[in-house]
Amino acid sequence: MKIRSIELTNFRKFVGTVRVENIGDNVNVLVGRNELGKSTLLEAINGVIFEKAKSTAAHVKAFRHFVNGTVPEVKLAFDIDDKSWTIHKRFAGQAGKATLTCSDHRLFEDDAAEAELQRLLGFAGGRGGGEPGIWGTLWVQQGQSFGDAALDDQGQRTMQGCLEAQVGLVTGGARGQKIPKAVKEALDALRSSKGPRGKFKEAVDRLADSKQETAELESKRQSVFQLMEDLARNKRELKQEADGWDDTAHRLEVDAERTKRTAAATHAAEVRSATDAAKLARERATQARKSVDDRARAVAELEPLELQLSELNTGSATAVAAKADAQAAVDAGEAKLSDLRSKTSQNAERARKLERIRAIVSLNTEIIQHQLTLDKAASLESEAGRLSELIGAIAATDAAVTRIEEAVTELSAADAAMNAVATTVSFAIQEEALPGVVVDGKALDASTASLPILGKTMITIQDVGAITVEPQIKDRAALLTRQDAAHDEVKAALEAAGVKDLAAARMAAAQRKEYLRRSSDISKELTNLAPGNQSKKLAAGLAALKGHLGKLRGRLKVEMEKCELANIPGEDELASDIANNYAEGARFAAETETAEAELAGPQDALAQADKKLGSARERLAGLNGTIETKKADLDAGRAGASDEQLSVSAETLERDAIKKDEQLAEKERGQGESVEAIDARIKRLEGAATNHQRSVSNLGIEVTRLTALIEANEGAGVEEMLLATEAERDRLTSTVAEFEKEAAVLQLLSDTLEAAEGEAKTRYLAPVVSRVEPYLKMLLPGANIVLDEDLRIAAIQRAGQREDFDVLSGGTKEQLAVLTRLAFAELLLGQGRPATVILDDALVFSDDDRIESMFDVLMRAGDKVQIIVLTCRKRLFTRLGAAPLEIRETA
Amino acid sequence: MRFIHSSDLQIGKVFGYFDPEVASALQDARQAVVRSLGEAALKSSATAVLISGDIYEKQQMSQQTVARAIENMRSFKNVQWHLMPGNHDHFRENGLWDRLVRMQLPSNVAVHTQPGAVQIADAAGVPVFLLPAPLRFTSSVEDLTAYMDEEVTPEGAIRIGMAHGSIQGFGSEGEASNYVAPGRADSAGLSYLAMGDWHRQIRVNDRCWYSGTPEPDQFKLPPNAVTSHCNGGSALLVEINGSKALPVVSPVPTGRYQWHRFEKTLTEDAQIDLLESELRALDSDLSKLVVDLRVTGALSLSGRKKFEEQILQSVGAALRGLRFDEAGLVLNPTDQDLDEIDHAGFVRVAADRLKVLAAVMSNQGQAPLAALALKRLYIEHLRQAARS
Repeated sequence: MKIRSIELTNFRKFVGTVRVENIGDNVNVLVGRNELGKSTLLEAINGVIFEKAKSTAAHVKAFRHFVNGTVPEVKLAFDIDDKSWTIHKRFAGQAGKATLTCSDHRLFEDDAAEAELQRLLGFAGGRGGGEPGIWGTLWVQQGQSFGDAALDDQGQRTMQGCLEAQVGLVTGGARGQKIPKAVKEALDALRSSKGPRGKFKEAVDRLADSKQETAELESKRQSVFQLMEDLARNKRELKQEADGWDDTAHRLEVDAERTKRTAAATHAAEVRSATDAAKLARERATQARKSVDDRARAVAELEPLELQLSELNTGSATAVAAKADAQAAVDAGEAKLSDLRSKTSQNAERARKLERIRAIVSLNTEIIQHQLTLDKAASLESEAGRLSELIGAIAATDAAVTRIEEAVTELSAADAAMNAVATTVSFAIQEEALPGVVVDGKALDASTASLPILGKTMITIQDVGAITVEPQIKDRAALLTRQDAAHDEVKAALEAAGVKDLAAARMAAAQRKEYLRRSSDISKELTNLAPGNQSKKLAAGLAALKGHLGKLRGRLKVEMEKCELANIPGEDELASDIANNYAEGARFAAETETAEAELAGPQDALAQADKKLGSARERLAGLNGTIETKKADLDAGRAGASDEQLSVSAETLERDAIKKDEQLAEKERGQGESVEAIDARIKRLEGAATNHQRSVSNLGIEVTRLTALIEANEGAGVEEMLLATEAERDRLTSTVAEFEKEAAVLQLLSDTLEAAEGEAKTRYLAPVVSRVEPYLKMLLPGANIVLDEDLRIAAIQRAGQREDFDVLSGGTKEQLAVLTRLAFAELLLGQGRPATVILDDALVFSDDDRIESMFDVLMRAGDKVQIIVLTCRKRLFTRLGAAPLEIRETA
Repeated sequence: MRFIHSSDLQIGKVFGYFDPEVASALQDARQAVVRSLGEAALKSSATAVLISGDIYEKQQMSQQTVARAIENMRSFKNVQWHLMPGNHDHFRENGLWDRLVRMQLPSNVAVHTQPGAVQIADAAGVPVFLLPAPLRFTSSVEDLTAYMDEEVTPEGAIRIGMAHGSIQGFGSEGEASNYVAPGRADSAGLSYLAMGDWHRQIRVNDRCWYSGTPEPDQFKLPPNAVTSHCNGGSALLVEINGSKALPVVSPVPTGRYQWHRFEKTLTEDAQIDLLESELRALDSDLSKLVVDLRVTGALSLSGRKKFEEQILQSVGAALRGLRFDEAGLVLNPTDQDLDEIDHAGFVRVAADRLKVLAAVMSNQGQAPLAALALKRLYIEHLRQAARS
């Protein structure tokens, strides 16, 4: 369907007739201010198609003009299937009129027109007006464009038809939809996420109960059998108890035992009495014999004691003598020791005196030593005076020698300067002629010589004559002056030094140096002679030494007086005295030690003797006491009974005891079983009877009890019940297994159906998605659309993230909804059913960038699909570049 | 002397693999067979019924169960009942048998809980002695009939042995224990040895027979069976004319229900019709039949549906009891089956997938589930189709 024109007469706000025409194949835009009636126009298009001309519905009545209420008319021209149609409706209630005309000259009126219109456009008619189906989706009214492009049932069928025509039957039809549901319901009835439910659960529960019951019955069954066994055992035991018991025999046995017991008790009393008597007699006899023995022992004991006393007295006297001997030995040793100690003391005194003399000798030696030093100092000082004199006598000091040397050098230099300008006269004279050649009156030294000639020189040759040579020399006078000055200086220097030449000067200077050295040495030696001695508090220097010497001499004198010493002994003599005295001291010490050792023996002997004597005296005293006591005791005893009397009494009593023992033995021989043994047997027999009775009684009670229990239980038929419950358990086990199997089967079926359905849907939605996608790329590059099975936009996916449609912004939602509508229209077109998309005031939420993209989308879609855009945004929509439409009033 | 020989009534036995209602009917039949035995005795002028052990299933049976059997015996005044413990109801002090004695048994009911010869009749001047070998345990190692060789009875008396167990060296049916020497009847000079324990009627030799159970209780076929008829369902009428004479032994039907066992392999739908005919041909009254049906092979989904309708829901409903096992049956959906579900669409895709899954033989756990899931889908499809 493509809309070509629309004409409204007296429709709602419009009075008279207005018209929009020349609606193109592609994108058309009707721009108008608010209240112009754009929405009314869309309402009119909807009305003329879906509402019956004769409709009396309120919303159809509302088509009338607000004020004048005149009958509204709408005329819509459209193309479909290469034919042009015009539908013209007059909404006048019962008097309404519908006319449908076709370019092939067919004409339909009223109901026929309505029916043909339905058929052409594929919507469902209804009493309250047509259900717009797909058109409701494609013609979007103001304020609805940003919602999801939802399809009503009719619309969905239309789209499904389109899709199935394209991808084939995938849904399995209405029945196909019901099967998974039924399977799911069956599965849900059987099982929830928590486990079995309904009958399944009931069976599981009952199985558990049944198992429990079976176990209980099994236990009960065992216990009943146990009762039976217990009863059998008890009966057996009761029988054994009865069979093994003879009551009369038991009674007789007990009576016999009791008689035996009486006899045994009497005899036992007699034995006890005899035992006592025998015991008494024995004790008496023993006592008497003991008295006899005691007396004899007392007598016997006295004898050795007295002997011992005598021995002790003798020993005591010996000890006194021994002690006196020991005392004499000790006294002698002590006298010797005293003498030795006195000698030792004298020796020590002499040793001390000799030590003092040795100090005096030592002091004297020191004095002599110091005197020698002082003597040497005097000699040295004398030598030093002599040397000073000698040094003063020599004038040739080092400085004088230097002056001479410098003067000699100057003289040499002056001579050399003269020689340098002198005329050299060489002589080569025969040896025999030589004495005849005289130069300036001097003979030549050698036959060949060269002489420098400065002045007028006359060479006289004997027998020959004289030759005068007078060289002409420049500055000869200056040179001669220098030479003369040098001569004078040499002469003066030598005179000052008191020598005749340089060598002598040098010799004299050396001599002087030697004296100086010796003088210095003496000076040093003098200094070293008295270096002082710190330990003796002697300061350095000869003066100090002299003072010290005086002190020492004083001390020597005092010490000699103290020691009454007239002369100082020689050292050797003194050393000999000292050595002798020391040897004597050592001998005394050795002798003292020996004497002390010798004394130890007698001292020890003395102590021993003393001790021995003490001990002897002590024992003597003790022994005396004992003997006296014993004698007193014995005398007292004898006063009571004589030795004879005691002995006779003991013998009598012993005979009596023997007799009593014999009597007892006889009694004991006559004694049979003990009373205790008989008592124990009687007790045992009585116990056995009691046990027997108790046992019989208990067993009887137990038999009665068990019999009653068995009778109470057997009627119930536990095993029979067990069989029944086991059967029930087996049935339930297989029922549960069946349910489990059924659940597994249903699960598998459900899963398989769901998977197949899911895949089918993906395939089914693919054509829509593939048509949306090019536009989506223009709008949201990189995004994918996700449709649900009802062709609704479920979400988009951007960068792998799913974003649900509901959470998208209003603008994005609207844009996506528009894209989907365009895709639907394209799908319809693909099925040979071109469709118109009408957007009333759409894209109001889009930002500038997006709206530009949407314009591109619309223009691109407009190549295939007719689009009519109604908007109030003139400025914005001029950028759309669509064919403009106008609402025009007609006459 | 004429008597009825039976054993293994096992009154009180339960049948857990059947629905309670069926199980209850089968239990009733075991109780009722006492009357059948009494009637068989009357009909054949037998004066006694010998039951060679296992009268009851267990020892601790309810008073109702125990007493009902005794009361049924009591009502046959002219028939003397001789009961002996078997392995199921072996003698135990203070147990079932003591209880029976305590109950004051009717005069025509005698229990034999001790070994030893007991005179039970006087057949025209010839005394008849019963030599029972009652079980005191479920299983005994020694041959309880051994004493019979030495047991003295008056010269010329008819000696009838009664034992419960297996005949040594004679196959092994039932519980192979409580062995009895095969030549016991001869060695002990018995005219007849009435054996119990095996539920199949067997002639061991001229003087030794197993009566089998009078009311079947197992889907067990005799060896080399040619029919589907399972063991049990009759007693023996025994006539003894003198101590040396060979007994005349003949079976007497007593069972209320016949038990049948079928093992069928189905590979095509037509065989279902054959099976139906076969089942219907077993008896004009299908309510007398208890059937064990084990099906193997492979059926299409529509075939399985046909099986369900023709066999399980029709014949099966007529039977007294049906135990059905299709564990060995493979569902082999055809393209037609799948087309019936849908030609296209995701449901068909799912069906195709399940078919593939079911065909993977290595997939032991999942393949049968997949087959059942497919069957379920098929049924669901039919259900939805029926609704729309």
